[in-house]
Amino acid sequence: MSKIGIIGCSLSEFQPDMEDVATGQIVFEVTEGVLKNAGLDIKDIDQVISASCDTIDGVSISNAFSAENYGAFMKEESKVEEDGAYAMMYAYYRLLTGQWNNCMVVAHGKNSGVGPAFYANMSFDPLYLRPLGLETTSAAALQAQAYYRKYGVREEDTAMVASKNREAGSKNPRTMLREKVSPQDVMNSSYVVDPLKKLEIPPTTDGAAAIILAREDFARDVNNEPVWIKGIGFAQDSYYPGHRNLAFSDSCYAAAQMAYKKAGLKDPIREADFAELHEACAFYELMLSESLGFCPEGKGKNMIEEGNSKIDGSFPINPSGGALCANPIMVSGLVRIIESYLQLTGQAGDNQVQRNNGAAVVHASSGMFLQSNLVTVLSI
Amino acid sequence: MANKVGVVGIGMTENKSYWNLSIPALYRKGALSAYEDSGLGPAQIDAVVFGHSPEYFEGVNHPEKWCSEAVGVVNKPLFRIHTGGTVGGSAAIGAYYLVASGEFDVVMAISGNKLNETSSAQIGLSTVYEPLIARRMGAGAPSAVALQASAYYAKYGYDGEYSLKVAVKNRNNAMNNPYAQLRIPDYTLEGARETPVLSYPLRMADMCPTSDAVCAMIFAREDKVKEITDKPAWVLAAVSTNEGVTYPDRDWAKPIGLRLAADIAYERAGISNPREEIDVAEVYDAFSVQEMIWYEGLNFCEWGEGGNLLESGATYMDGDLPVNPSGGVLCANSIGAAAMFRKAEAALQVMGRAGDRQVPGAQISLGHGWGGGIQFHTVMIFSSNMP
Repeated sequence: MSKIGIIGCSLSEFQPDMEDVATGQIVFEVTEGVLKNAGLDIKDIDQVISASCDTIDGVSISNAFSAENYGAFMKEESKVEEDGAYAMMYAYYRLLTGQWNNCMVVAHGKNSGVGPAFYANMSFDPLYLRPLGLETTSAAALQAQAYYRKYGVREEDTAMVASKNREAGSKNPRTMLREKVSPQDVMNSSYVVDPLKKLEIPPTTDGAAAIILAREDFARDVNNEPVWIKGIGFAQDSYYPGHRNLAFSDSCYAAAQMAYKKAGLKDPIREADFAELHEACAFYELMLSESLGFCPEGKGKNMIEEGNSKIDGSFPINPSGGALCANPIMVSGLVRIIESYLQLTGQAGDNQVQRNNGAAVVHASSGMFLQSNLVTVLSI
Repeated sequence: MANKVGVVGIGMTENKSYWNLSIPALYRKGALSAYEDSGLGPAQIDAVVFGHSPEYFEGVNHPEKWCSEAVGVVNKPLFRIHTGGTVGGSAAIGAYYLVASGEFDVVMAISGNKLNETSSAQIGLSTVYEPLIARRMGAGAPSAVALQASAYYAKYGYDGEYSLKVAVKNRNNAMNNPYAQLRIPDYTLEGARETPVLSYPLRMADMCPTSDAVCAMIFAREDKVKEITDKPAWVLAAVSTNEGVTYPDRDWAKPIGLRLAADIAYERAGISNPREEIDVAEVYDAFSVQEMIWYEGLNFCEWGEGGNLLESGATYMDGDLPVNPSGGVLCANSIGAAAMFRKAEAALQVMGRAGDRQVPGAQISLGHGWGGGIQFHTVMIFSSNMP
């Protein structure tokens, strides 16, 4: 079976509100960017899979008018209404059939338009949950309460996560929030929804990202250091928060097991060099570390207390700064993939981590309360 | 190369109003229908590819998230594809590729909508257009297709009579389809002519109804197919393409994006003469006139010959290439399920299980869908024989 690898990437600028830039323009820029990065022409691209969301764009069929901007004119094409990492997943399975050489994957999310809160509230069913006014932060706060209480996580622990990621972000010119904050700054920031404070929730972000995937022979022709997808797993949990254990993500666990099995990974923190997680709130990094098998259940807080997950620790988590520094919904997971690609190819710059095994665990998420998760194992 | 993949189960709900069922409840109905048809249960499903059309119809973002329990697949791979009216086709194609990749044994595609939950589907469809200029016209789908109809008539000298004949053909076919919404006895050309013009030159008879429905298809890899059924529909090709919406020299009467999809599909399926080799087709005739335009796009005839192909009788139930034996989208349009119904109906034909709408001896069938600004097309080709 042919290997599938990443042979190019592109990130847009990330900004809180790109009011004066049309969606199509951002999409066009990352499309041009990824072609340039891979040294390819649009004519070389066999197909395009995109990711975007009608609710975020305020446009029904959000790819109808952006398809031309991502170069899909007279090409095979489809769109995933999940994070861009899921579009990569679909592209990966399509390429495994051997029917094509390559696939461009493009994701966009101008979150400032309707705002993450509206996006989230519309994701709750109109009968029971939506009338409660639940949105991203209040939903995350409920989950944080369940997690903190079950495992004795302290607000100081998550403040350390936020500080760690913001410090990593200060070294990453590709991300949005680049000022360091101390754990004390996080503790001193005001509560948005108890127990979550302003500096441990992600910023509203506009942006886009693109990658090109290719089969091994094509990949080696155009790129002397492709990054291979060794395994992918994804899973969606049940919907109602009352129907599941909010303190542990079963779907992330299932996704990780599927990805590790495919990749032949037995001990992720020994066999991979680092992880990029879609931590859409600081505490999610701790919770996800448990579901991903980086530590035993309930021990996520030890990862941060012992300093292992720092950029110079034994297993760096979110050396890019993570979603706490830039969180364009629909794009954020694909950004984790791209940051990992840059790390694994030694192009990360000031936030470069040590490459010992040349492998990374990358996580993306979709939906509320971590309902759906996707885990990718990348390797050089 | 790609693994061989067969359709081993099909689920359908009737197309109608379901005021007593929520979105998940309707999906449950569709999923249970597919499980019953295939003899499989959710435990045997390795992954689900979810469809569902624009969120602005029902006002629910990420409807697939609401439906995990409803389809019975929890903590397993599930994701959503959304490409507008083609979504049912795009989801079916997604499920096909997951299986064809060799990484999954059995994958279900499921897609639907509850259009009756919106005050008007056209409000949702008007938001397809970009907000700066085009949306203010509030065109919806009928007015956009009315422009397409005018372009088609003007280019080739056809008129509304041809379109009404498509409507009459398909409405009469729908009498044989228990899942269709519009089943009107004694539907005649005279009656169709008397319906009001809704968006010139299209009359009410030229337009699809508003439906609630879910359709599901279960795909399995070759070795599993044989354990599940003796009569699968083998997938010969699964293609989705994009044209463009806004480029200045776009010819709405000449769907080059569909021709591209068809050419790729025929090549993969090893079909050199579609008119001869395809036994039955289900095309996305949301508006009657489009059926003739799609004949041309699908290379059933030359450009401009769609009306003449209709007049020849070839696409009627007793012709040599019946199109829309189910009655097509003109008789049932939930949007979210409509493009999958085309694929599911086409699959049923080569399984020999299409009931009263069966085309005798059908061996090769084609299912089509369009969506977006009439620029996305999906084409799947099925065969009763293993490729």
